[in-house]
Amino acid sequence: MGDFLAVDGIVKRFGGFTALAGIDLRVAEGEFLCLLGPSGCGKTTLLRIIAGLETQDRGRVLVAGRDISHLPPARRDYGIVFQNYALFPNLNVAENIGYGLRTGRAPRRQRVEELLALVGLSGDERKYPSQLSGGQQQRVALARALATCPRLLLLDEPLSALDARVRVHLRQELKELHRRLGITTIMVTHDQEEALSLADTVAVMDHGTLEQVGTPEQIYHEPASRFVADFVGRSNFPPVTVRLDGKVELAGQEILVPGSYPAGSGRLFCRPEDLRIGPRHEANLLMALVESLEFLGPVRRVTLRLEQAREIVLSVDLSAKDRGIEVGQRVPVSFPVDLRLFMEEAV
Amino acid sequence: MRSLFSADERLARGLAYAMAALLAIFLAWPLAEILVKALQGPDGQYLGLGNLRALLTEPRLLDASWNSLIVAGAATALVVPAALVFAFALTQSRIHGKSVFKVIALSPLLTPSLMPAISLVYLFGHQGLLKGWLHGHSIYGPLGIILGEAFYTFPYAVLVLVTALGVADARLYEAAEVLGANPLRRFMTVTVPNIRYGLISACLIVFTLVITDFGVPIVVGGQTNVLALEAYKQVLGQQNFQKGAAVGLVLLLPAVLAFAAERWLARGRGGSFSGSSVAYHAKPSALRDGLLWGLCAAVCVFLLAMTATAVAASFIKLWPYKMNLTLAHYDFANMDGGGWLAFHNSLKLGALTALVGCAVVFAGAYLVEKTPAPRGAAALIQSLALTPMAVPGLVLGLGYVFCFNRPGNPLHKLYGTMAILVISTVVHFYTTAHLAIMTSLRQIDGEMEAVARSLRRPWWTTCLRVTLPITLPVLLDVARFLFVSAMTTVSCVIFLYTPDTVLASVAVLNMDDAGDTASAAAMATLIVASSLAITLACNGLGWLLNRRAQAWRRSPA
Repeated sequence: MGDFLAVDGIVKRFGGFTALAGIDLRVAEGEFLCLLGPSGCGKTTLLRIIAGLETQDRGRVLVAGRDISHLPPARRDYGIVFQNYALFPNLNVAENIGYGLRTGRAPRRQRVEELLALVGLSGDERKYPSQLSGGQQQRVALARALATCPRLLLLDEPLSALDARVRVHLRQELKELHRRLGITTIMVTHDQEEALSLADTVAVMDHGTLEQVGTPEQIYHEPASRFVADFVGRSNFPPVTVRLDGKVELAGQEILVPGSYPAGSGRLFCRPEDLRIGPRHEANLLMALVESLEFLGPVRRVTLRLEQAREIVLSVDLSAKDRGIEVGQRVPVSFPVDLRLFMEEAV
Repeated sequence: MRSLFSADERLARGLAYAMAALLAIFLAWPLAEILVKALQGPDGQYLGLGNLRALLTEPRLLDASWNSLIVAGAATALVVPAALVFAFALTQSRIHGKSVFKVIALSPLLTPSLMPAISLVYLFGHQGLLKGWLHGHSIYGPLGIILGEAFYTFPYAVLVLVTALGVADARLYEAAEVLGANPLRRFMTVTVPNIRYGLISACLIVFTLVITDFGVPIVVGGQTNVLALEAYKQVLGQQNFQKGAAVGLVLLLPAVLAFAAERWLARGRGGSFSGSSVAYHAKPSALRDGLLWGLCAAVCVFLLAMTATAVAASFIKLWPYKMNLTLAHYDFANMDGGGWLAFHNSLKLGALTALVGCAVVFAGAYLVEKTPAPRGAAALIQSLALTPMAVPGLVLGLGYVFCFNRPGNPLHKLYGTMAILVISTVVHFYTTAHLAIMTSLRQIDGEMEAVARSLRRPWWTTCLRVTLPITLPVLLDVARFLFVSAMTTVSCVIFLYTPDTVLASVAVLNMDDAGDTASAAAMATLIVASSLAITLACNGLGWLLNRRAQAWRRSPA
């Protein structure tokens, strides 16, 4: 099969609370997998089970075909980085990084220098964690995890504790590191921008189940469920009705939607950047009133209310070049032709 | 489905079981023996609640119970308000000399509880220097007991209340002030609710300490009988173990109730001082500060007098007639009661208690907190570790006598040795040490052990290289606490010593009993001196350690 890591039917309960309700996952060698989801969805629990820091109630974990489900952490081959770095405060950078190395002094020193160069901290061997910035500490934690050349790298929200700018910078370094080393990596995060940017594969989780596993493009453009569509990126979900003749109606007007859907009520899915103000496509055009404008730097986010159905609110992103839109104006808003529909669950 | 454990983890699990067993043998077992003995008659027959009923009907025991309650209540009423004012002065005023006041307030911790009693005798006794102040009343009796216990318990009350008052959030006071509250209203609506828990805690602690102490009553109690004395007399004097056990059981009651009450109160409280709270700094006020300074000074004079009098008297030939200085009273070889052997034994006990105690308590806390210990063993260690706080030394000593003095007991040969003194003292002060070390261990990032395991290092590597260096200051503090406690304690060891293992605190008691008050004062002075020396040594060592660790303890600039 070529899978490096396989997770089969993992179930974990804490008392009456089900943290993981049966997880099946495959990770190829060298792949960067992101576990993405809101707090409490079980992503950290899954990571800890893979690490052997928690014990699953049911299911197996296999690495390179070997069943490691019941091995203690010391017998699994991985490095781990935590959100708050967990650096040993009384050891300096070199001692922290070399902690897992059991070779002689000279080869250890050489390996530590290698790793320091890899993470861009050469020269900081003798500093103590308290003398380093957050970004530097995280890099030491990374170097320490990689020191023993593990075949698997586990990252538990490694960038959450950092400032926004440092976070973006370190994200790029992480990506570069992965490209150079090619080590199989699993990262847990609640930040979807991070997931989309870093991962080869994103696994979106909610309430202990996998909602969707796919590439970042698939997750973003082809969400499998309303949860994924809502969680990743911003979306509009105006309510629509599917008539018995198969036509889709939004606020009393017909909307062209590819594919056929059963009669009933549903939600239209479109991203703010896909909507246009002004006639671009003659079909799928509705009149709306501009309620508010939000200046966000590169884009202006416009909030619109449909004229024929004032309770329906839409969010549209305008670039700086789209001028002339003001609050209170009556504007045409056009929907793209390749829309998705999510049917409402029959209650 | 359980994970396999690596070899080093299996060792840790085994050690956890061993630790739990140790605590069960040396704590749970003696306590169980007391319960059994309390329900027996003089020939070992089962009497049910007979002994306890006697407590409520025998006039002598009823009298002792009543006196105990009155004395404990009066001492609490005297100490807690004074400690509150003192703590308030230390935390929410701008008086000068706070550090000096704090040191003097805590100085009674270095003295055996017999010392203030001896000082009271010298000051207010039959040849007392200040006898006139009593206007004909006698210091021997409830008055002496209350004053002596006030000295003994003052530092405990101050410590609790300083902690309670010290977590004042400045922003609450600012909000109250802006909304128009005057100082009194601010005190009633902001300060008092915050310290409610601390106040109750202080009252419970003082009450329990007083009711279970027998060092003060035995010297200055006169004809007044209290329960603690009664237990001592029944067991050592009349050899009536069963009655002594019954009294011991009753003495257990206030401590257990206080302990339960504290835990119940503590449950309802969230942290009142959150991470975003701002520390409170009092504004200067000449009137308030002047008054407070005067009150603190008065209290400190009293405290110093209690210590200084006994120390001075040990150097004076014959108080108050021949006031020339002498070292004769330190010539213990010429007195009965223990002599220099007692002092050496106490030093040995102190050192061993500190070393063994630190090692054992750290091991227990570390195994529970930082290794995958089996749940049953961990729960047992945790609950047993918190129990000694609820057991007065007197009761513990009784338990050890009943338990290990029985010839049928396989550990019988421990009885009468220094070993049993060390063990009982470590158990006696276990809880405070355990809580201090637990707190320190919990402040260390829990994920470090996970990282070390992923790097395939056994837990003892991480313990030695990372955990111990970080907790060393706390361990030093615990060692100091154990040493001083071992030097000054008398309630537990009084039942367990032999002529070979006599201790300084016991010698003080014996010499005072024999009428050698001056020599008793001399021995007490030696106890204080060595406690002080150890405290200074530990502080110095701590300062040195801190300097060396500055590189990594310092937060980034």
